[in-house]
Amino acid sequence: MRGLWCAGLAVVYGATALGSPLEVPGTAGRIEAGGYLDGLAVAPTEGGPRERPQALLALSFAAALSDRLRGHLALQSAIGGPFEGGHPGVYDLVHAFQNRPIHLEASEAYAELRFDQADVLAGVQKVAWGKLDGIPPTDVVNPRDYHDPLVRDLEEAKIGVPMLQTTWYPPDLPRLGVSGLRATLVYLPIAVPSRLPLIEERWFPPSATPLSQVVLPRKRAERLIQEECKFAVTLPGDVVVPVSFGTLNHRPPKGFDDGGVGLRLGGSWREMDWDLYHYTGPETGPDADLLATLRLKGSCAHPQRLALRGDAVLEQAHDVVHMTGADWATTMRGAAIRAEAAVFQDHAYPGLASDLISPEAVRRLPLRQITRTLFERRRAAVPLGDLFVTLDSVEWGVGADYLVHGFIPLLQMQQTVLLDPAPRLLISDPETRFIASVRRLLFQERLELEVRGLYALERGGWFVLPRASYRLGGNLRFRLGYLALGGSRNTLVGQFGNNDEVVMQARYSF
Amino acid sequence: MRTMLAVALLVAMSAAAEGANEARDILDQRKHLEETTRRWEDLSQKMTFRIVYRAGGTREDQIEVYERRSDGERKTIAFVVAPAEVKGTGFLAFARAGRAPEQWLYLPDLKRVRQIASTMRKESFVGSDLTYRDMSLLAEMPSWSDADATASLRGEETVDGTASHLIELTPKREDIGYDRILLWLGKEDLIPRKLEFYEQQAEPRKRITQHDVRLVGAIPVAYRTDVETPQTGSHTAVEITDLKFNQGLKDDLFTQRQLERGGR
Repeated sequence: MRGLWCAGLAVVYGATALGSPLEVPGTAGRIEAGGYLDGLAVAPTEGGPRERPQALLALSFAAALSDRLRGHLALQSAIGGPFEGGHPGVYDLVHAFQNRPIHLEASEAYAELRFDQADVLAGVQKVAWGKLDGIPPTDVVNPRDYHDPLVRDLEEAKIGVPMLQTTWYPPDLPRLGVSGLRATLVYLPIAVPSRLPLIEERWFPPSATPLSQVVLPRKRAERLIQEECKFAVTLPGDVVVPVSFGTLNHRPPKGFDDGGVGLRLGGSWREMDWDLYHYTGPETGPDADLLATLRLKGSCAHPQRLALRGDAVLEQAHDVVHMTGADWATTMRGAAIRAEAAVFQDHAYPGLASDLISPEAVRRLPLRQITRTLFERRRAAVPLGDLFVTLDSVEWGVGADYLVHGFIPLLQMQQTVLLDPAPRLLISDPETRFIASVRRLLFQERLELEVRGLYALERGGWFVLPRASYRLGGNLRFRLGYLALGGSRNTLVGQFGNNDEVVMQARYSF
Repeated sequence: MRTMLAVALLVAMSAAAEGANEARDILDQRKHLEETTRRWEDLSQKMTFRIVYRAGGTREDQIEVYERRSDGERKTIAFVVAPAEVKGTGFLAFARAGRAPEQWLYLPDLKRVRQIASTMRKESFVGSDLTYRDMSLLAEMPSWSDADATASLRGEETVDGTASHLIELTPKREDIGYDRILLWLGKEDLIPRKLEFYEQQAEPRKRITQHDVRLVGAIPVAYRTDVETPQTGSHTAVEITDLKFNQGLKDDLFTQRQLERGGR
């Protein structure tokens, strides 16, 4: 893998020296190369697990083989970052938990066939749906990498998915004032999950971590043992069950109907851009099951030697989600305005692992049946309930940006309304989030000052990321920022309250 | 005394009116040339923006620009070719006289086309001394009439050895964004040699000089333009290469579909 990095750096040098497209001898074809070398380091200021400095090399190649046929390849490789332990390797498309301190990834690799009124793209691709900033509700086709969810650019964190994408561009309809029409159909033959952080990592969500031990009241434990062993036992105290915790990959199903389809219809009408969307396919947001197993040592013959321990596993899960949505953008009185709405069926929303093993939850468990299975088979599955709950919901948002005295403020409100009754989740119902950013370019765009942040109204989770970027020449950019997080620990963002950090980044583009 | 004052006022008014008529005649001549012998339907060109920072240091941005004019509408699509960090950024604008233009920006980082507001026109174009609005003004000024800006002839001056008419334009439309514009038009070829854009201050906000005028067919083109911002001390030199007129650029080049492709 290190050899690969050397080869990559040689390509960087070659691409930089080349400076212009490479003609393919004997053909009308040409190849363009580009990319960037990125260095990222974070310095924790509030504790939280460490994150090693990371060097990331991204290379992209665009080949025009003829007027109609193009090829695109984007490779990405990184050393360091949030990983602990693990082995070097190539990222695969089927596992949610991949511990790759040195990795290689083909983030995009597709062929493009261009016709006068249609395009056909086949291969590993990323698509960008929706118009809102941050993560638009309708942008569901590609899963994301959540190893560093807040600092890394959201589009860079997208995972390329094998798909066939066809777009038809019908003629304008001047009588109706409709122009720029497009109808896109995407077919995804396989399910590709999000890449989730591992337990030791800085951005592993504490809300997914169960308790390290479960306490079973002494009297109840004595009664359960008595029922199974048919004699009375006296325990010295409450039964404390130590719980180990791990993650487990689980390949998505590979059947013909386990893929997904998406449809996008868009255009412009009276200076307004609009799109309609539908997606039915694999859930691309984070999705996992918390599975628990109890193991018993000893038998009724020696009740004093009975020992119980628990194993909890966060296992990659697969659900099918349906999304139907629309977006709209226009300009009004000098402001750019965007709005978006999506209706979801069976969308996965995260709950709290601690709620699944709380004393109330333990009381609701079928302990007699579990105990019987334990004594019969030495192990028993514990039906904890869903960590990620699939629910019907509506997600919508509206945002605007405006240039005033050189500042570009952006304000956006997004809301999630659940249509089904739900247990306690990491989001409230409704969950209203305000996203704001202010940007100012100075010194002829060499210096960019930016503050962006998010505030969840009902639960109070928030983050703010002020940062300064300085461009040196046209290829080198330095960035320094500070990520601060806060609010209730039972929120999507607030749970990372210990992860405040100074963020330093340098990027050389070529 | 009153009679003298009235006469002086009348003389001044008639001189001003004459100056205005002369200026309008000159501008109408230019407009006529633009609509006849210098008329073009579409163009493509590569522009190199060499930005010289006040504190020292330079940066070079290369942009491919395509433009098409038909039925009173001007469609422009531009792609950033260099530097690498912003390569693939695209800009699409549909402009029609007297209306705020429709504008879209494609940022490769976002992989999205975004409609941008007219206030963004005041932003610098690729960090240069020109704003999106300045670029638009330079393209549409030849077609202006008295409804857009009143004109008056301020005399004659020599710019870079070229005898030029000095014309003052006072914009009437708010979207033009400047209080007055001084325009030095070559007397022989009616090519702008120098422009100064003023806001409220006595010092110009922008000073633009055009050099290296060459004929492309019957159309004279300034291959080098220098733009200064006197208040900040910054300077941008814009050079044109690979300029071609009337290649029959199709309407489907000026679409969001092409913007997303980044000119590839």
